Amino acid sequence: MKVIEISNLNKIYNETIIPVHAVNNLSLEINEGEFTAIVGPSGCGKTTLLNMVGGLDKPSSGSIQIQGEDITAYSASRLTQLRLWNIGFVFQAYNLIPVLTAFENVEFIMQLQNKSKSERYERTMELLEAVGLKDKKDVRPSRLSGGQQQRVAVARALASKPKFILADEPTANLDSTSTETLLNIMEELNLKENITFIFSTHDKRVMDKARRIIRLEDGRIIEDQGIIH
Amino acid sequence: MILKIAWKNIWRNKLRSSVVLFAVTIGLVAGIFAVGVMRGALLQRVDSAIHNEVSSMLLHNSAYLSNNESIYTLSNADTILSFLQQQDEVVGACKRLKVEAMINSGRGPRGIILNGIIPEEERLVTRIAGSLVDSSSSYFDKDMRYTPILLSSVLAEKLKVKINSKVQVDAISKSGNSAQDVFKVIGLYKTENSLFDEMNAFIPYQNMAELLEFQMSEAHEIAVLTKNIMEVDSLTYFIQKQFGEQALSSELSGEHLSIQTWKESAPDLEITTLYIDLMLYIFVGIILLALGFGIINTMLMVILERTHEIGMLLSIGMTRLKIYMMVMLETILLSLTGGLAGIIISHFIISYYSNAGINLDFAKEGFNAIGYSSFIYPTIDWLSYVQVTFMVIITGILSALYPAWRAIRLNPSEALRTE
Repeated sequence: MKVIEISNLNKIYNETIIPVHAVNNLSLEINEGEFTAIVGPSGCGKTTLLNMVGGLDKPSSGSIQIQGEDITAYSASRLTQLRLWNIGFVFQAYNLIPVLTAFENVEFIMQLQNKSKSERYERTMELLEAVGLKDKKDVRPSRLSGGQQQRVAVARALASKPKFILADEPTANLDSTSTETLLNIMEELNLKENITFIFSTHDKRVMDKARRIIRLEDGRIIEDQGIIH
Repeated sequence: MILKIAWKNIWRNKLRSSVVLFAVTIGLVAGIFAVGVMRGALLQRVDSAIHNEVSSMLLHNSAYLSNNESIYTLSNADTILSFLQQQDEVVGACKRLKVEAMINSGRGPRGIILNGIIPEEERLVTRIAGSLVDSSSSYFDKDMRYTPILLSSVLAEKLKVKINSKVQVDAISKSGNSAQDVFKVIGLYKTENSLFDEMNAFIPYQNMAELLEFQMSEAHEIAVLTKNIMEVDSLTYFIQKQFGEQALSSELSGEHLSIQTWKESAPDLEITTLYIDLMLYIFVGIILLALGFGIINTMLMVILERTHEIGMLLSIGMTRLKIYMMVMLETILLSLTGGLAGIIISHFIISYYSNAGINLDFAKEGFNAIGYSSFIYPTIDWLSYVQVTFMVIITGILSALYPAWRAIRLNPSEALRTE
């Protein structure tokens, strides 16, 4: 089942001055349950592509369909709702809310969804257990290691029960042990719960785990290995 | 959760938040205390004027007010007085004979207003008796060789007289003849209004009536003190209804009973009472306006520092309205925390000084010259604290508008790129 369908996508920065073609006529399909890495050198358009798929940025032309609906014409508030209910984000810099504990960070997104207290508690504990941080639930991000913070970020991304997770360079700031742990957790969630993961990375360790690798260069796909139909 | 985040966000940069809180606290303490002092001074002035000068209301013959001649009296003063003394809302009422006179101690004459009073009635209305700073006898001793006179200490000093000194008073009698007598100074009073003190001398009503040929039932003025000085209109109506049509004098026509409430006799006092409430808004408003700009600056810094975080919140699906509310709440909580601290500290300071008083004797002459006491008891009522709290909340809301607007204008992808 297609989760994302991208057709003839373009993103041009500085269109009127010195145009920069960050994404160039790109077409792509992502199916449910994929564990996909988008790779390429810096500036090849990985983050721009993820931002547009996540509704954080508007394409210059082309379409992005999420579960059959074109999101390029969505208003800002509709995109916010789309992100809240359908997309999980994992960022390179973890981006946890520093004043909240690990538990509260995971729970927060469900509060935005107005889920009941008991449901929030159950899901948060379940996710913290899944990422191996149940015992750190009352600890604030500043007291967690980088790897632990990123695991909390993964738990937060999953809390809203999204259709897919967009992870922008999730291992860039992690040491090898933390990277290994994080990747194993995400792989397990992908395999057991069929959650779709899309990474942007140039980390070899992520590429090794990914079952599909899309290679970008100058905003175009130059290689797509392991596509699942 | 938004409230929790907003509250916790305040303490992320403790130093910066503490500086803002300190500024709000100090600003409000200064503002509230200053208002408390002024309010205390103004209320004391109103209180003093009511109890020493104009009472709740003054009744005259209308012609006395327009012509200022002693022949225009209230011929039925005793009837009016008796009616007033039966009214529930009246604390006390007294009649007075009141003429312009010259007082001479041998150091040159001075113009005064000679008041003929009945001490027993006067005590219920004014505090002159309680203002005696020096006295050789009780208020007016009846068994004296000379008629007693009560002067103010200010006038006594100008006349260079002391207790038991003799002074001569000259005045025009009701029939138009010159009348004079020698009086013995039996007491020196002192109010907070040196102008009043300098002009007014008091002698027994009976002596004055005899000296100036007035009937014992006549009076130039009836002073009334009511329980609530703010509610004098209904009493005015009743007096008018009862005595408004009655003739005041058989000899003269075109006269009627004039009733002046304290607001009419001393319009400056009414303005003062209105100003008391306005002052709070003006003073605290100016302070909060200045603090508001400081808060805006701080919150703009906060938004700048948290651009990346706001980008993340927008990315994960937090609506712009909720981000707006979060910034709003953070600003309001920051202002309110400082505001409440300021209010609590002000309350303790004002409570202390409302008992101990503030002695401004170094400027006593200046204060007394304009009718104010130099010993001030600051006061603030609870409603003012509520009003200040609302003003702080409004300041918080207004200060948050621009920073919150800046926060929701952020583009999530651009905000996420910010370091």
